[in-house]
Formats: sequence, C-alpha cells, structure tokens
Amino acid sequence: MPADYRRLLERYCRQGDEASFNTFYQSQAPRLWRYLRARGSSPDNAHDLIAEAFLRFLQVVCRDPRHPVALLYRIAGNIHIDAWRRQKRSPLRAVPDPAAEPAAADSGDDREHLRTIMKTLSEYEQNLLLLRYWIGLTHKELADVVEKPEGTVRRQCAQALNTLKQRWREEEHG
Amino acid sequence: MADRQPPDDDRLCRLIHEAYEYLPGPDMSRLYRLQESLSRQTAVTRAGARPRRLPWWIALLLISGAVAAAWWAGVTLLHRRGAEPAHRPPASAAEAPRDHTGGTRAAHDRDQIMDDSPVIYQREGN
Repeated sequence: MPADYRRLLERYCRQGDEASFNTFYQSQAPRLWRYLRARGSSPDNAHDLIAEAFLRFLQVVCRDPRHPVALLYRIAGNIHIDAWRRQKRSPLRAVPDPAAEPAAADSGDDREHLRTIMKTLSEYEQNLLLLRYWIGLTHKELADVVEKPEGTVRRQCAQALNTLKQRWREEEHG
Repeated sequence: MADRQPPDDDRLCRLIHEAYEYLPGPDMSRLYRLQESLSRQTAVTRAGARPRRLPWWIALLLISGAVAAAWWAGVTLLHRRGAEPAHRPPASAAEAPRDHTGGTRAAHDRDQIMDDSPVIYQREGN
C-alpha cells in the first residue's frame, strides 16, 4: 500500500510520530534484507547495509516523503553497489548460502528454477524485475530509482521479462 | 527434470514475487536492535534539529524598547511643534511678501528711492 506508507512517513515527518516510522520499518526491513540477499549480500552484510540504508533514509525522507519505498530501495541499491565496489567482488557470484534456499513447497521447484534463471540476466535486469514485480514499485517510481525516463524503464521491464521467458525456454530445451 | 513450459507474463510476474517473498527471513532480533538504535538516533536528531525559541525575556525587552522609542519620538515631536512661534519673520528676500506686480517689497522700496533721487545719471568710475 504505497499510499499508506506515504501517510505513515508524512505523519512521522510532520508530527514526529515515531510509531509511524516503526510501522514502516517493521514492514520494510525484512523485505529489504531479502532484497539485499537476492542481490548477493551475505546475511551479516545485509544487516549492516540495512542499518546504513535506514540511517541515510531518515536523513532525507522528510524532504519529500511521497515515495518512501522507492527512496529506500534507491538508497539501499546505491549502498549495495558501493559495498560491492569496496569488496571488489560481483554480487552475482557471492557464495550461495544454503539457509537462503527456500523450503520445499508445492511450487517450490518453479520458484527455485526462476531464481536460477534470474541469475543469468544482467544485474540491471534482475534489479528491474525485482523492484517491479517483487517490491511492487510503479514504473514511475522505478524510473526514479534507476534514474532513467519512465518510458525507457517500461520498455526495459518488458524486455527483461521476455529475456527471462526465453532463458526459461532455453533451459528446458537445452 | 519435469517439463516446465515458460509461464505467461502474469504467472511469471507472480512467480517472481513468490520466489523472493518466501525466502528465509533475517534474524529478527537483530532487526529489532537496529530499530531501537534508529529510534534513539532519530530522537537525538529531532532534538538537535528543533528550532530554538527566542527566550521570553529577550522578546519582552525588544518589545518594551520599541514601545519606549515610539513614545519618546512622539513626545519630542509634540514639544517641538508646541515651541514653534505662530509667525516667523521671513529669513530672506525670497520669503518676503510679494506685491501685486510680482516683485518683492524691498525691491519696490529701492526703486522708489532711486526715482526720488536728483541724480539721474552717474558715470561709473567717477
């Protein structure tokens, strides 16, 4: 509910309502941790990055609290890239953590298969698909995050989705 | 391996959501600790960022000073107006009363004296 998050953050910024921020934090922090894990951070590193991301988020969110989720993921993405540059290793080649593997479920195979195929996409394409279809950002918010025009982002999302389907097909027939 | 046809767009989008949403989560105790630490820091930040109020006694001093200055200026102006004479003699010829011809009264008198004088011509330098 983007409008609810927006209201929460507006209340926090205008009235200093700490409970509103805590609600936002509790709904976003676990997902942000999974997002950072999906982008290749280790569990410990993901915790550190979350701390840094929320600190920076709090410093700037009250300037414009209209799209708090997009802002948070933009900050987290930038911090993740900075950390990756410092470590000089690709986030896509991070050591896989067995704990991150999902428990077997009815459609667990499909999910696992999808995650495997996702890793064959470029990091940019992965990020677009994760933010659009997992985190649920709109194309406009996504455009703000990746700093590209909305039309370009819309086209790139469709293209990434097609690439994903094509890779799925290749995996099956190859 | 089971034969998996590529899903359609809608199914694929849902699958992306499910594939990551249900990954094992973080250590919640660490997230709670982080939340507490953030709360402490935001409290400090808000306290630091709170605009400082002007102390009431400084405001009172400024207002009373302004009122006193206005009162003094008003009283001084009234005193000056009260000390001013009702009719002030003209300070210069320019302020002297003018006759109907437009000249000053002093000039008119001077002309009159010259008309009554027996000397009608006097060479310069004599």
